[in-house]
Amino acid sequence: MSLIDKSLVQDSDVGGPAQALLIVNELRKLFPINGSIFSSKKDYVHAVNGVSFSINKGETLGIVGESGCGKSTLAKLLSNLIKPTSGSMIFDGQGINELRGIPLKTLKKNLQMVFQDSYSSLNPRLNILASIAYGPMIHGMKSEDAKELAANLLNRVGLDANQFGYRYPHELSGGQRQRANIARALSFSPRLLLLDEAVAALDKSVQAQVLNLLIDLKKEENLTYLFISHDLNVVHYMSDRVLVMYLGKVVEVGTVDRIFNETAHPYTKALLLAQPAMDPAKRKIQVPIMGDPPSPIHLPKGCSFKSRCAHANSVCEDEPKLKNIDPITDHWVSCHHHLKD
Amino acid sequence: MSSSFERLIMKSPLLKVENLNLDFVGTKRIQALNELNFELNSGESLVLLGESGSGKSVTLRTLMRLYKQNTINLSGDILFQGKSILNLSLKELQSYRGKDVSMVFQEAGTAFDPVYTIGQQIIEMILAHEALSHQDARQRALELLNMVKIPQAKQRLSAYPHELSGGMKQRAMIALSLSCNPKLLLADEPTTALDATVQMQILLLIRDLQKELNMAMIFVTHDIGAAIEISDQIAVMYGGTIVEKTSTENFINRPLHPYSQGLMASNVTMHNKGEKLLTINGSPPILGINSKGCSFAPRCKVKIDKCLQESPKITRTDLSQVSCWQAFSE
Amino acid sequence: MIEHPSYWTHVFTKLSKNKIAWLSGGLLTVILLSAFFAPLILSTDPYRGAMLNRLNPVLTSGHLLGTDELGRDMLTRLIYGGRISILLGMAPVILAFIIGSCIGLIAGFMGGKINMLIMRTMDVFYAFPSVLLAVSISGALGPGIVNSLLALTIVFIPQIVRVCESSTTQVRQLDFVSAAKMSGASTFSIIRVHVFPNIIGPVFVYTTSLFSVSMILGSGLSFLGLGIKPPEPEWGLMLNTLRPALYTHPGLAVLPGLFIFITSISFNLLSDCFNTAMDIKK
Repeated sequence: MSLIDKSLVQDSDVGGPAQALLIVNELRKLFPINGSIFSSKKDYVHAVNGVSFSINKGETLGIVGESGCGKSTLAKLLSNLIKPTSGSMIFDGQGINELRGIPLKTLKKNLQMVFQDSYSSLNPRLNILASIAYGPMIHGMKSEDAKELAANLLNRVGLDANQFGYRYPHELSGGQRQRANIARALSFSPRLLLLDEAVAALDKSVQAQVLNLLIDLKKEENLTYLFISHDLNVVHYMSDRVLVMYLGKVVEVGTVDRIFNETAHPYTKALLLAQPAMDPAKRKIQVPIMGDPPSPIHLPKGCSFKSRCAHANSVCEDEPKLKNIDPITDHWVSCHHHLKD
Repeated sequence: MSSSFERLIMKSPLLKVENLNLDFVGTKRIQALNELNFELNSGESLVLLGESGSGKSVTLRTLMRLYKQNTINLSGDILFQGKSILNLSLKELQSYRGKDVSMVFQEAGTAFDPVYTIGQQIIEMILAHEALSHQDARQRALELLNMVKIPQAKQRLSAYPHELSGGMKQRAMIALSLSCNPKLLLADEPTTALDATVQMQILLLIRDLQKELNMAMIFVTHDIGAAIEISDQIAVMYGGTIVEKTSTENFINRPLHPYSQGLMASNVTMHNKGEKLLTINGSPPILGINSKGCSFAPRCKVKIDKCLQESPKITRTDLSQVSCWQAFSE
Repeated sequence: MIEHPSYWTHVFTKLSKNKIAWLSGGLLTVILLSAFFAPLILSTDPYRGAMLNRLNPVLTSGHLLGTDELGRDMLTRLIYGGRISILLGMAPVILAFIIGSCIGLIAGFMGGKINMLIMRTMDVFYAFPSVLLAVSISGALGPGIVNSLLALTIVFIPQIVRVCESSTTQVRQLDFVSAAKMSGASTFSIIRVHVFPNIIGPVFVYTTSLFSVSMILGSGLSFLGLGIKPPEPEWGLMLNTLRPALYTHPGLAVLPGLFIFITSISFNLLSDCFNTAMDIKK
């Protein structure tokens, strides 16, 4: 398991292997705009509009979507940084919504996040050791023990603690900072790690190093990952299952093999077709999809993708529901005309 | 193509960068470009591929003469159509920029002035370089918007930048840069900030326009996939210089420079699942570290002593140019 | 392990290389020390004067800077006067800093309705020009040094709250604060460890720029008769009482003003140097 002597102990598995680690049910987050004490008419940005899914213990769930699909808001909801407008979340069998005080603090220990911007995720006034040691100290570790843990973790993520420990964030490169952020997240011995575009801002050669690190850590520390990214190649590499979001809703979710090779939703298909081929002989001639997503404020009636979909017809005026098109692998899609391969 | 003068122009390269060294002078001296050498012919497209600190954006900005004279220390030469652009008078510079060479930036939002409409800004650009009437300039602006496939172009002429989506703004910026028929288009990561589906639309648009207008183009990116889509020639930049310049096909199948090989190997595609990614040790150098020898040597798996002492000379073959002591030593 | 300089070490190292910082800091130290140790370095009595001795010019024997309109030694009065003037300069600002930072931190960190309530209240005070506000509060409270201090403190609190609130709001949105929230830390811990050290810079610089303003306002209040009463020495008051002598003995009459000028400019320059030293783009 863990090589670290002094560490926070990872909380035990309460629900058992069959219990999903995180279940999200009809999660909704609406942001009011044009709202003031004086006006009665309110418009809302439907950032997350009824999202349901589950993450199993030990797996990596990839979440893909373009800007405006709601994945960043989803990350903030899951990490309890903002409260949902409606919907529920269940962590290892226990409801999250009504938690306060000590149970909430315990949950925070189990659920950690690595952010996209490696620089703004670190306090510029604290050296790296202090940043990493902060969390364990909050959860009761003594200062010297926490510092030792921090040093061990730095070594674990490939940064020599002797060289990097007392450095400040501005003295590290992007890749080094992101490793420090991963060490910081690990200091809690969490069970679920949210990676919100964690490698997006890194150079490609550095990205490969960090991805390798993440995969090793997952095995060694018994972690479950939620991997949010706009980069389909990286999602394919990292994930066991993939969830596709569009305009605040889940349009398709299934194993990585089904999503990439037996794509069912036209939007997912378009996303895949929009990936550059790595072969000059197979260059794109035609654009797979035109235009931009509709406004998340005044949502179109029915299927939100119909304005850009080649297959849309009058049936699409009714909003499609998620249905399981392959019970063996649990492949769900939300489309009246889902593609059958 | 009839006169021998025109044939002469066609033979010599449109753009020739010779032994270009650029330092930023300030509280510290920072070396940004280190013996940069390359040529570009009319109608050719070239991708500058590199990571952060490689000097690719600095190269473009130098080509546009965007750096103030007193902030930089330049040696070497840049020849555009045989004439050096480093000593142009202000008037010649104003004609060079926009008319001969124009640029598309990464953040379309900041390239436009938010208080003027798109139409006003394109017309302003046209009128600055060509003696047309306002009416004719407006007609031309409309044609440009149609050329970049902006729907409802007529209405969009009177739109302000904030009323357009990211993709639309980028198209408008491309229209702006093409407004005076430049001979060379410089594109600085124009698709990096866009979503995947929009990115592909813009890449295809740029590629088609470049061929249609027979414009030379230098496209800067860090994304190998985009580089392969857009161009037939790739120049890999590292530490302020070009380490390898070759055809796209050669780059994918037979990269010669250890850095190019490392880049291709560590690239995540849909075929590496389950395998450990091959990585290049260390990280790209921060702009400004001045060292002897090859700038890639600290991270190179096949380095020899010579690499640490002497900067590699350029080896030219029919197909490519490489800067590496070890490139042909198998 | 290799130690790296902390932020404040870095700031002070940078400051120590700045010649202007040395100059202004040095001047201020001299002024402050001489004001503080006035009774020890001067034997003359600032209140005793002889009418026959009045308005002696600078460099008269026994009176280095001459005598004022009542024959009192100018140098002594100026140095003693410095005590009160500098007190009027520093005390209200320091007090406003303590109170204002707390209010600003709360407003900035809490956001929402609490923020609106606090900031709109501050806006009401901020809407008044400082001089007018100082004069009206001082006028309402009555003369005397304590009331002047109070009036000035009230004038500066909204300004500091503004700067503090805006910095706090910016910092609050950064990812490391989100990470701290996710660690289960208490609000107090988050503010103490993560928010406060990152906002203290801009607030501190703004605060130091207020010293000179406060001193001039305080002197202004005395000049108007609202603050210090004679025979207390205070630079603003001295300016007032020497005013009749302005055309006959200009060299004497401007001396208090000169001292105000030198002190406030030293404060400002030092504040500027701090600003530059802290403004390291990281």
